[in-house]
Parts: sequence; C-alpha cells; structure tokens
Amino acid sequence: MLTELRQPEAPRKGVAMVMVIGLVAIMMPIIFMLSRIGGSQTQLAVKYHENLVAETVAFSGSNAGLSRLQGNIRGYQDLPDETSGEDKFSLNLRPTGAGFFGQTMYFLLTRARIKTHNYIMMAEAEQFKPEPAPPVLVISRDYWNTVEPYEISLMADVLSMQNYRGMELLRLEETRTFERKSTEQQYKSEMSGKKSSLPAPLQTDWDAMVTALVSEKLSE
Amino acid sequence: MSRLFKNYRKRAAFTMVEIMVGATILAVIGGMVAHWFVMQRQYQSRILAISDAQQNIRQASWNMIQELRTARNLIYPRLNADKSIRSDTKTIFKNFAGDIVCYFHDAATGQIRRCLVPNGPGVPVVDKKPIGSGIDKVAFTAHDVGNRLIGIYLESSGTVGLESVYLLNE
Repeated sequence: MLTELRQPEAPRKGVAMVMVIGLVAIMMPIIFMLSRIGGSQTQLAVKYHENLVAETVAFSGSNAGLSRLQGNIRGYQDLPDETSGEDKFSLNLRPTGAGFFGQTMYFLLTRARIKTHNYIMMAEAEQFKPEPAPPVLVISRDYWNTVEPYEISLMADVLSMQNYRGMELLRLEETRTFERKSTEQQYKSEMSGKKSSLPAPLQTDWDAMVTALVSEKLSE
Repeated sequence: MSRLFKNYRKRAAFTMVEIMVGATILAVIGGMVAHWFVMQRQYQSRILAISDAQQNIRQASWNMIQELRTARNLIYPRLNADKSIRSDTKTIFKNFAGDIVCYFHDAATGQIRRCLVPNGPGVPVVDKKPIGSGIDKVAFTAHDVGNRLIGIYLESSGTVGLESVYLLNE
C-alpha cells in the first residue's frame, strides 16, 4: 500500500529538485554577474568622484595657505587637519630664502587625502613684509607656474619678478654678449666644436643647426 | 519490506538525463561566468595601461612645456622651403637664458632626454634624468614661419597626447 502511494510522487519530486537546482544554478551566477557589473562601474564612478574631490580640496587648501600668508603667518608651519567643508587637508609652509627686498620665499605644500586618493600641490610664494599691517602682499606661482594676476604698481613687484628670473637674465646677458663679441667664424667654430660631445641622435643634423645659429647670431 | 526499500532507493536518485541536463546547464553557466571574469581582468589591465600611458604623456608634456613656453625661438624643426609643416623626433631651441636646449627621443629606451648646449664656451650636458619615460613615439612639429609655435605629439602604449606651445619670448 505504501509502495503504491509513493510511486507517483517520486518522478515529480526528482523533476522539482532538478528544476530548483537548475534555477538556482542559473539565477545565482546571473545575479552575481549583474551585481559585479553594476558594482565595478559604480566603484569606478566613486573613484573618479573621490579623485576630483581630493583635487578640489587641495586647490582650496592651497588658496587657504596663500590667505594665511597674506594674513602674515610666518616661518615654518606644519598645519595638519585643516578643513574644507567636511574634508581635511594639511598645509606645510617651508621658507626657502629671502629676496632682494627682504621678502620671504616659501614652498607651500598642500595635501588632501580622500580614502586612497592623495593630491599634493606645491605653490611657490613670495611674502612681503607688512607695510604697515596685513594683508601682506603675496606673489604666488602654482604647480603650473601660473603667476597669480596682480597689478604691478610697485617697483618692488617688478624687481621681485626680475629676482625670480635673475639668474637666467644674467646668463642671457652672457650668451648675448658672447654672440655679439664673436665673429661669425669664431661663433661657428665654437658651436661646431661641440658636435663630438653631443649624443648620437643630435650629431647628424648639428651642422645644419650651427648654420641656422650663425645666420641668426647677434651682432654689435 | 525489502522490495519497498529497493523501490524507494531507486526512485530517490536522479536519472541520467536529469544529471546530464543539470551538468550541461552548469557547464554553460560556468563558461559564461569564466569568460566574463577573463573579460573583466582584460578590461582592468587595459584601464591601468591607459592610465599609466596618460600619466607618462602628461609628465613628459608638462616637463617640456614648462621650458618651451618661456623659450626664445625654435632652431629645429622649421618649416620646409615650400612652407609645409615639418616634424622630427627631436627639437632644438634657444631657452630663456639664450642657451641651446635639445629634446630628443631615444626609441630603444622609450625615453625623452634633454641636452643643454651652452651658447658660448662649455660642453654639452645631457640631463641625468629623462624628461619623459615610457614614450613610444614622439613628433615635434613646426607650425609657423616665425618659429614660435611647436606641436608635440606623444604616443605611449597606444594612447596619444597632442600639445601645442607658443614660445613667449623673443
């Protein structure tokens, strides 16, 4: 009796089990795959977002550092845990020397970190003495060497710019003087003599370069 | 009882067809998932390679542009006699200080090197560090008659970068 009752159930049970196992086997990897696809794209978007935020915070931090300089903060300063909104950045002011007018030269390092994204900016700044009180004149150059727009109204500004380029201007005077004082033959001989010391890729066309240089040589 | 137990055991097992269907489904799904994983790995490697290449290009461009935009004039390359543009893997110009600077591409190492030739007495010096690494192709292109505008084409692992610099100083 028992055997007769169970007989018709067994094939249905087997089919049901295969169907369940099959569905699970199909659905689970598909769900997993879809979640991974969505997940990786989301992760990528989040990473870009974090990267952008880190960059923006570092920019803000750098401007904040320049404002501090204008507010007459002086000397070596290590300022961690500054904030821009909810995001932290750190400032590091390193004096590197003094200019013609006693202005202090600085490296201003700003670091913003969001999770694994680090963004570090370096700006160069010249901080003048307060005359008579802050805000202090600050001339800054950012990572891309952009000079902050300001009005050249003081001789000090102009000279400090020249100071920045002073070494190169002195060298320019030397090279120009050399060109002017040399005859074409002397100049050509001097420049051609360097050919053997040049790296191989430059040696091949060097004679043509010398010809061009001689043709454009400055004269007295 | 013995017959009953025997029948029960027989009915509780899967049939060969059921096992084969199940195995086939699992094999197909396994194949799809494995293929997808491989594709993802390749995609990730490609993204990393592009990122590295862009970084190499940005760094090399930035190093060159910094000096080029305050340079005085281009010595090489210059336009052809018929005023058509001209490209080369090296460029030579007078820098802000009036000295002669050469950038050249070393294809064997994939580096862009800088050589400073004093415009006066002195020996040419090649910088110890390259100004660009991981660069497969370089082309410096002269664009104008006044020798003030130069195009820089850089290629790294299939990623390209194109910059144009105007020399600011006379």
